[in-house]
Amino acid sequence: MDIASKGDDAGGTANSSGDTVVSANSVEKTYDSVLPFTRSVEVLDGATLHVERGQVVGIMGENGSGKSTLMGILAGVLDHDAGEVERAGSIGWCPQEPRLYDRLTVDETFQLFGTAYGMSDDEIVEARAWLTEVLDFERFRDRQIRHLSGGNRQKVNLSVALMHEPDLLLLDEPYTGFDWETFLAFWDLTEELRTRGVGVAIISHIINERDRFDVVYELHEGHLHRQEIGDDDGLSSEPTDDDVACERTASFIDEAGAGSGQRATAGQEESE
Amino acid sequence: MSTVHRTLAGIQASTRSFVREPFTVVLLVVLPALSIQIYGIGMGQFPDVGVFAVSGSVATVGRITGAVFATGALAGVLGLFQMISARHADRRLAICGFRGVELVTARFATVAVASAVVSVVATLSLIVLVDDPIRAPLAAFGGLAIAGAIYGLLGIVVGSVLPKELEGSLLLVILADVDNVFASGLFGIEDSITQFAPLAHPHAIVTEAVVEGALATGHLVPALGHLSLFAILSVAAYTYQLESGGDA
Repeated sequence: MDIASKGDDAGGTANSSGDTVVSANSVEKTYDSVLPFTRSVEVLDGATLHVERGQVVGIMGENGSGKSTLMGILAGVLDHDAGEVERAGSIGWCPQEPRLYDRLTVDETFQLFGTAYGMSDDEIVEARAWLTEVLDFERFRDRQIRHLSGGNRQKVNLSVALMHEPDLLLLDEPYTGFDWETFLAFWDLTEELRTRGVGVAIISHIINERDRFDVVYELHEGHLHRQEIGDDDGLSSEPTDDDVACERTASFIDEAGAGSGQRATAGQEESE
Repeated sequence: MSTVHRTLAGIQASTRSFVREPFTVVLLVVLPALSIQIYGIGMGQFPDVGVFAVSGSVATVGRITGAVFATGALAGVLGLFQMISARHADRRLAICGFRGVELVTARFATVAVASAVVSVVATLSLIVLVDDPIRAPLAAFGGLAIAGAIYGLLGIVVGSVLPKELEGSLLLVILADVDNVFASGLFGIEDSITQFAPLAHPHAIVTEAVVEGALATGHLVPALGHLSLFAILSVAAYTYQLESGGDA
């Protein structure tokens, strides 16, 4: 039972384009109910997406549109019913909810997941030093995960996905709970990864971030609509309720950031 | 990175998670003694002759029954909570490169350690609380260890297919209670029925060790048979939940 290499899962197969790190073609996914009198839910219906090396791709859509399901399928965590998914190289997956061991410390978490990735002790220490400095949580290294604030937990969650410097990074709303400075540090880090040739796919709710992406896919009724940045074709012109809410969030962040570096979502004292 | 290295890292992480919950450790120490005393006092209210067909004093058999119940229920709940708290992280670890067999080994080793700790505490409590000295304490420990291991594995099964803390723990405690009543032999239920109760043979081993000072070899093989059966069931259940994304 080798889950990491099951089927076309992590580790992946080489695909037709040498620059493509993940390619999903006509992917379908339905959640079937085993209970009587409850209906099945069709989430993806022919979704197609490609991520190239050095490309930052945004995936947007309403709540419940299936973004996390799509991300799970791309990461190899979820099975799909039809279609093809091909991956090339190593994957870093940052799920929406941190899937970490609550009673391990930050250092122990790095050590355990670094071991899973096959990294040496020196490589783990180096990756830990880099990420704790860039994302500013070095002082919490000896804390257990359950004692961290939501934002710091999310930093560890992101770091676990990044620490082995993967070829493809799959991030499901990675900055939930981040303060403004960390939010900016995250995008600096993403730029750095882009220049290194890492393909990055990010689920995002913040419309104002569109300019940061090379390509945006909007997931609507099971289909992915692709848009190169600067091209409005293929996107629905009518704003959804989520769009309005996200615009408000973005404005809030902008206003907070326009100040003297004050924290937009901070106030996160660590609990002991 | 070798399989042994990864497996040891997994065991180390699981063990740390286990011992870092002080409330669990307190329960481990207190509950067996409490259960032994309650069963002993409760059963001790009945006269030794004419009500129950038992080999020792009714109070002693009551204490043995309390020890077996506490060991089974505690080990089962610990196995359940370990499964529930780690299932999503286990899945992520698998995606990051851990092999299924390494995760299974780490998870089962931790359940084995937890069951052994519960059994040691229950044995020591029994030694202290039983009126007469236990003549075969190692055999008593062996019986309790098998009872703990069986229910630890049952905790993995329940945690895999019913990953809910309240419902899962209620199910395990009720199962342990009913199973223990069957196993105790107090109510003269047909042997043809009681022999299928998972705790029946471990209970008989502990009783023989405490009352007769001997190892009940006739019950050892069936007890280990039950243990093997639950080991197979729990591996299948754990593998199922791991492959279904930790959301089984």
